[in-house]
Amino acid sequence: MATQTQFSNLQALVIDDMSVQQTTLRGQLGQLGITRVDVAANAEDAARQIRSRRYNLILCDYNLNQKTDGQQLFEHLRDTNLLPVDCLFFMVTAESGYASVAAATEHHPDAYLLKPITASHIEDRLKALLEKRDALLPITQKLAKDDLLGAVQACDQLLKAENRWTMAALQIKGKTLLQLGKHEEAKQTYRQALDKRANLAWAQLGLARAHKAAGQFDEARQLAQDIIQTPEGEKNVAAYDVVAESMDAQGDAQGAMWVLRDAATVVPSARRQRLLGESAYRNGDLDTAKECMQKVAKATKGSVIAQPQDTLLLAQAMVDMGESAEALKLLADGNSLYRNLPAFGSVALAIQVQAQVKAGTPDEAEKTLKRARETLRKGKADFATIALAKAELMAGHEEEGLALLTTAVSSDHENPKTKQMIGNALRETGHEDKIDRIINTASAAMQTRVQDARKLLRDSKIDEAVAAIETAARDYPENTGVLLQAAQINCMALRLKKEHNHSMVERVRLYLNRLEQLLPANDRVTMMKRYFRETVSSMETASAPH
Amino acid sequence: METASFALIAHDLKNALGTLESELEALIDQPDPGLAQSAYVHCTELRRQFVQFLTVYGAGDGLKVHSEDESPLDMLKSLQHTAALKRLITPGTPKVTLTDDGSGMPSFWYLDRRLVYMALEAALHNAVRFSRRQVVMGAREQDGYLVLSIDDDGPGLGALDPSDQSTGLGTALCEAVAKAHRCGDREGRVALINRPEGGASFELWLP
Repeated sequence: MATQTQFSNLQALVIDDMSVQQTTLRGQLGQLGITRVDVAANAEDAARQIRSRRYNLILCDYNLNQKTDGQQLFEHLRDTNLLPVDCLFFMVTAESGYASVAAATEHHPDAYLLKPITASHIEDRLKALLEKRDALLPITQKLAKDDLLGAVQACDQLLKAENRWTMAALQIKGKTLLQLGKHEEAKQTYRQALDKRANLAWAQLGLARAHKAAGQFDEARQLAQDIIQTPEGEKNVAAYDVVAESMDAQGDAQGAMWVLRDAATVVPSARRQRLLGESAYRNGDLDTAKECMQKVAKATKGSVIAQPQDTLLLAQAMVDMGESAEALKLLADGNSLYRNLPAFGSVALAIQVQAQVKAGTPDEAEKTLKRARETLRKGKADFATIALAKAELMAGHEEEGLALLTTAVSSDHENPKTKQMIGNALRETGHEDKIDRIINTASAAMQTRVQDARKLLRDSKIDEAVAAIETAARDYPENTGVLLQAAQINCMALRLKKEHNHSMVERVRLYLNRLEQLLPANDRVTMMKRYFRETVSSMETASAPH
Repeated sequence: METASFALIAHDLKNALGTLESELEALIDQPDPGLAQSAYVHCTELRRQFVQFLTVYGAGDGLKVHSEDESPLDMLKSLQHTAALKRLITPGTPKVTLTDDGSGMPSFWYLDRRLVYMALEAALHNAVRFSRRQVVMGAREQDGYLVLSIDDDGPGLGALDPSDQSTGLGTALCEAVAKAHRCGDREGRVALINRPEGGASFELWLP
């Protein structure tokens, strides 16, 4: 008989492949008053159920004896935003495996429950976590409304109490300050946490990130290296990422790749192999790229966590290495697996053309190329466009190929990763002599458009300046350099004109949202958001009645 | 660990299993809720010892600590709650209380809740066996350490185990958990002393 408890309103999901364990866990939840319990026997079912119903609590067995383990499922749910922020995720692991599971993971679930589990174990963790949630509610409510300043204030309020939640409040405060672009205050917050507890990993990491955000890349690298060198930090892949991102920002793409390689060695997850594979491919290290993507393919075969781009990148690396037959087979398999994804099909066709050219079947290649052209929409700064450009160049259509690459550069002319891949494509297809012309000319042209707009603004031709940058943003809606400038010029126009122009404000908001999608957690975007917020608030102050 | 100690532990676990076996045997002929309850308690106890054993000796490369900011008071309250439930089943066991109702305890400390809880459970189990009337648990901050204490009013250290169930496992567990907690170059430790007012005091010092 179910009793009403503080947990009775929770909707729970049990993920376990053993029906005995399913029944046991369901029974234990029942003892706690949780009667609304669904059950899934594998990761695929679980993902489906989570998509269709909002759960408050998920108990997931680590060993699903299927293609996907509990940790992979958890990371997949997080990466794809399927997990509601207020959903608690408990991982059920065996006593013996716990240490290795917990150490070698990038993201931790809310709790690990070690077998054998009792109802009171679950109750204990659940109570503690719900209590924490209640204590942090004033902060999380602000965050949910994207009110970052309000969230920082709520953190300060909680910090005043100097209670059990001090460290949790400091952690959120630091993170929020980083999102606000206030890296100096973030540094202060993290130092405050380190004063309370030396060597605290999240605070050290936050301090490293704050330095990176402030453009102090050497310091950021050093701080992150310090974490990695401690026994507890050797598997802290987030610290490796700070090192790699700092090196990327300093123009050392090769060095960044080596750091990602180290990270993939200490935490050999599919996700880590994928990151390394992509970086290796851009850096022209085809052997590593292929090896990594094969590991990804093996680890994700038949699983919900498999991604179409993995197959495409592996096939492209194989073609580049001259393994046409293997690549064609891989693409054929992918086509049957992803037949509902037009995006996969069109890129697969482009890579197929390249393989057919290399295999010495130009007539077939020509036929495939016609189909590939039909399916590609507007050229972008992406893998798909570069793959088609390579197909054109290899099939002897120099003009079409170069035009596509020019579009790719113009579409995001400040993106070093795209430029790296475009350079590789030209080199491989025997057009090394044109690298400079294609890349530099196209990006210089975009640069000029941006500078012209800025010059108009300097000459006080505000409306013309806005119009010029708006046109550029319309022509290349995913050009991050142009979007950043468009946001800035609009903000400057708002400040200069000192009038609250609603549509202008909305436009900047739109650009910033798009930038957030294109460059998640990027320091430049963060700073532009801060500039925008300050612009809006300065207008509000100015227009307030005196 | 030496083979002799393993043999000792195995011996004790075997004896405990024997007790459980005879209780279950009796239950076949005469189903009785009281007896079933007692068998259940013994079973839980046995499982707890196995978990302790695996925690200390099961990890190939030592205990791995995953510290979070935890409330010492919450942890002690939870232990107290479990002890109170046990007392319902086996009346006559000593009462477990907290010093000053928890005031003056640090509001949080970085520790691995699961491991520390397990160690305290073992220490509490021990204290209850030796104690006469009551066991007092406390937490304080001293010299940059969190000191979790369990005081009993028994005969003090070195006394013969009244219930003869000691395997040394609990002590080994507490030592291992203490050592695994480090902060910089400081590491945790266990202190056992005789209290001036009588009885023994167990202290777990965590950096």
